[in-house]
Order: sequence, then structure tokens, then C-alpha cells
Amino acid sequence: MNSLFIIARKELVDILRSRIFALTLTLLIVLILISLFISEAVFRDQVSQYNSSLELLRSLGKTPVIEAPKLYPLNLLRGVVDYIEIFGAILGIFLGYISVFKEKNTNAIKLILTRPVTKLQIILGKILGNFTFVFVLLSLIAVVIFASLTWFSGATLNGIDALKIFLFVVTSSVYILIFYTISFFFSFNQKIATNALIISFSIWLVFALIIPQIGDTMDPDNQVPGGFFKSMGLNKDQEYRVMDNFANFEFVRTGVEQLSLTKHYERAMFGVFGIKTQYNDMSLKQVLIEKQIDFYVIFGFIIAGFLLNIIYLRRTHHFFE
Amino acid sequence: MQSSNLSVVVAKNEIVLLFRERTLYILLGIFFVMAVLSTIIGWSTQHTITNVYDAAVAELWAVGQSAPPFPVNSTPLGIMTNMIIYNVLIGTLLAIVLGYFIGIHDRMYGVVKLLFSRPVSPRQIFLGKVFAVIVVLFSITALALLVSTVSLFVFGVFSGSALISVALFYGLSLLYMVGFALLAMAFAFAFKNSTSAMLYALFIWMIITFALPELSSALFPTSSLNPILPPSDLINSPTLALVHSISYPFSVSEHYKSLSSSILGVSTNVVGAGSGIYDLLVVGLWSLLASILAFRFFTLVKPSNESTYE
Repeated sequence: MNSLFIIARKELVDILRSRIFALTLTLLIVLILISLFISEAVFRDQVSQYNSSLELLRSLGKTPVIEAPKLYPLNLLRGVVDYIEIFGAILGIFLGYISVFKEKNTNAIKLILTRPVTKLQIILGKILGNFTFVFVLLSLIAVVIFASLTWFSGATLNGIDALKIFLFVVTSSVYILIFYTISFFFSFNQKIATNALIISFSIWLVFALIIPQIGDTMDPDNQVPGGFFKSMGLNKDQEYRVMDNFANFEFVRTGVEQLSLTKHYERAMFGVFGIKTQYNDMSLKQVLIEKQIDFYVIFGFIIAGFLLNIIYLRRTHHFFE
Repeated sequence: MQSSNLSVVVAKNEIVLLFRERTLYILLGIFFVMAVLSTIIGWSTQHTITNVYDAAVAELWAVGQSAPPFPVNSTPLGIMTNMIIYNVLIGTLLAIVLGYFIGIHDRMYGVVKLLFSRPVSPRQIFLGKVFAVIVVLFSITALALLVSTVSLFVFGVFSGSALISVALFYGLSLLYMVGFALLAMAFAFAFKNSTSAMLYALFIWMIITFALPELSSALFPTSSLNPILPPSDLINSPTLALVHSISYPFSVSEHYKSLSSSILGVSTNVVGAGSGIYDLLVVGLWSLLASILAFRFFTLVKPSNESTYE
């Protein structure tokens, strides 16, 4: 057990010393701040438009019946979730790749293997070290989010909000680690370094970008800016009745989306942060129950990733050659 | 041997080496599969939305309400809309990988010292590499054009003007993708560590594809992948309008999307989309800047500092 923690610590120290840590942290913080700034500006604009309409109605002597826009501070994190979906996955791929190839290039692994340490301890140690890194990175991001929402947006965050942000840190760490395990696997598998990277990127491209894009593009409601059904003046019940006639099309479309790990991560986080408006007034427990399938899929993927690497590496004889 | 001939020799060598990279075929495969699927998805969606409209009209009539006219802006080349997004996503990534390989080959095979010891000038080597990038990307876009033309025939929307529009669209896509390939090549020259080279290129790709559209059009990163989006009110907000006016000129992907949409005659989601010439100028400038950067980094490569094998 001690060896496992030593390997994990070495892995973590290596990453923290590398330029990649500083670079990814800086880029992620910049992207997240941009996203928070834009989301907040959009919200402020909605409030200002609401106030103008209100004043206009009052000046005309009418009683305003329009509903004021409500600020749910965690709704502003949509862009943050989007960036973790895309950039977090890229980070995971790079970590998995570096984790293997630094050992291959320096031949350090041969020295480690002369010590009383098993293959399993090396693998678990590396995974633990990288998980710790990602967790620390996302915790720093969470601090930035917290500070930004409270100081700059003037939002009041309660304990439940803090718990939701913690859940985001844990789920996002697991999501990133799934891509780590994919890249880790191919980095062992491939003799040429860049091949592993490109195969992992191809998987990322298909499952994180293309499949969700296909699902979104095929959605009938997305065919008109602002929503097809809204433009037709249909309410939700009428919309459901209309779409009942297209059950097969919807089955294929949602089936395509179900294939994407990224979509499950997005659905889980959009639920937790209330980005999908129906979850805004639900308790966290209710949201977790509603989104349990998405969480199960995410955790299922990480377990599959661990097992794949462990089984493959225990069987292979050209370990780290 | 003439200067141009030597560049052609370098280019030929780069292309041969490039097609030995088996993993490149994975990305190429994804690109062509999506080129085929884009029109199928486009046609299926157009077909379905028409039927959904009919069902919605029936639903409204059943409760005595009148139905608004068909709200979807449906055009013959609308089935190509997704290809704009696939070029932004897959085409550029493919270009990055191509440029990266062409830039890194000499270092990867440890032939930098050997290459510079031959009677070929650095300028000829650089031109040869750029030539290789352009030839390969041209071939890829030409094949994609062929695939799209066949699709237009199959879905019954082929015409002379449609063919010209699609050819112009792929021409613009080529120009846009060349910029990314040259950028990746620049980083491959600049960094001795191949991982850093790829990572930096991907960072810039992320900023151009996701961060700049978010700044200039208040688009969430994943929303910018959907060709049709919710309307943005950012022009009404002084803050967002100011951010838009500062960042939009640099938002190359939006200029590419805006001009592509105009060429194909489909509606665009780009806020404040301007004239086609302006868009073309920005996309052209992007590729020019990438080539200047690549040349600058190439001149900084010192053969004496290169190891024989990475």
C-alpha cells in the first residue's frame, strides 16, 4: 500500500512541476472567467430589458403582468460545464499519454520494476496521482467560481450550492479520469507515441463532440432560433402530443445521444446546477434521483476504464517496453 | 536542381511519410463518414420537420387555433448546413494533425542535421512543407466535394449553381483549414517536446472554435456547434455589444461560418454577420498569419541543437 502512495505522490509532483499544469490551469481559469462574465452580462441584460418593459407599461398606465427574471447563480455555470466537457476531456487524454510516455522515454520503469512493487500498484498509483491532480485543479476552479459568483456577481451561495459545486468537482474529476484511462490504455498499446494520442483524440472527437452535435441538430425544436414549438405557439402538452407521432425518429435521436458519455455528464451537471429550468426548484436529492442513470453511466465508464487497463496490463508481458 | 524542384522533392517526401502514418486514416475516415452523414442528417431533419409542422398545424386546428406559416428557413443546400460545423470541428483537427506530422517528421526521424547538410536551402524546405500541407488538404477537400456532389444528386437538389456554391464552400474551407495546419506546423518547429507542440495547437484551436464565439456572440461552447441557435440579444446590451465589437474581428471561426452560410444560402447564427468580403479577408489573414508564424519558427530551428532522434 505504501508503494502505491509513493508512486501516486511521484506522479502528482511530476505533473505539478511540469509546464502543462501551469498552462492548463491558466487556460481553464481564463475560459471559465470569460464564460462567467458573458453569462452574467446576459442575465444583467435580461434584467435591464425587464425593467425597461416594466417602465413602459407603467407609463402607459397598464398593470405589468410579466414575470421578473430570476437569478439562480449556478445557472451561470453552463459555460463552465461546457468547457469541462471539451477541454477537461483533452486534459485527461494528455495526462494519460504523458503518464505512460515519460516512463517509456526515460526507461525509469525498468528501475522501478527492480524494486518490490507490483504492476497493479504502479497502475493504481498512477491513476491515484492523476485523480488527485485533477481533483486539486478542479477544486481551485471551484474556488474561482465561488469567489467570482459572490464577489463580482453579488450572488449569495448557501450550503446546498456549495454541495452542488463539490458534486461538480467530484463528477468532473471522474469524467476527466475516464479519458485518462482511455489514453492510458492506448499509450501502452501503441509503440509510436503520437498514435496513442491521435486514437484517443479520435474517440474524444466522436463521443464528446460529434454524437452530441448530431443529437442536437436532429432535434425538431432546434430547427428554429428560439425553438420550433414556441414559434408555432404550442404549449408543452401540445408539443408532446405532436411528438408522439414521431416516436421512432425521437427514439433514434435520443438513442444516438445516449451513446455519448459527454451527453450523460452534461445532463447530470445541467440537472445539478438547474441549467435545465425544470430542476431549479427541485431539491438536490430529487435531482440526483432524476439523474441517477447519467451518474451510473459516468461511474460505470470509470470502472470499465480501470478494469480494462488492469486486465490488459496484467496479461501483457511487454510492460512499459 | 532548380529551387522550385527541390521544394517539390521535399513536398513529395513529406506526403509519402504522411500517408505512412496509419492513425491519420482514422481522422480521415471520420471526416469522410461525416461528409456523407451530414447530408443524410440534413435531409432527414428537413423531411421530419416538415412532417412535424403538418402535425402541429393539425393540433392547432383541432383546438380552433390558426397556424403560423412554416417557420423553418428551408433551402435546397440546407442539407449541407452540418458540413459547416464538421469542417470547424473535424476538418480543422485533421488539419492540425497533418500540419503537426509534417512539422515534426524531421525531428521524429532524427534527420534535421542530415537535411540541413544537403544542398537545399531552409527556404526550399519550408516551401516544400507548406506545399505538402496545401496539396494534401486540397485533395481532402476535393474528395469531400465529390462526396457532397453525389449526395446532392441522391437527394435531388443537384444543379449547376448548387455545384458552384458547394465548390466555393469547400474552397473557403480549404483556406480556413490551411491556417490550422500551418499553426500546428509552427508549433512543431517551435517545441522540442512533441506533446507541447500538439497541446499548444489544440489550445489555439479551442480558443478560436469555442472561446472567441462565446465572447463575440455570447454563445455557449457547445451551442456554437449547433447550426441553428437561440436568438442572441447581445446587441441590446452595451457591455456585450462592446465585447462583440472588440472580439468579433478576431473570431475567425465565426467569419468562416458566416461566409459559408452565405455561400450555401442557408441562415446563419452569427451575430452581426457582415459582408462576405470582410469575412473572406479575416479568414485569408488568419492563414497568412499562420504561415508567417510557421516560417518564423522554422527559421529558429538550429540543426546544431537537434538530437539525432527525439
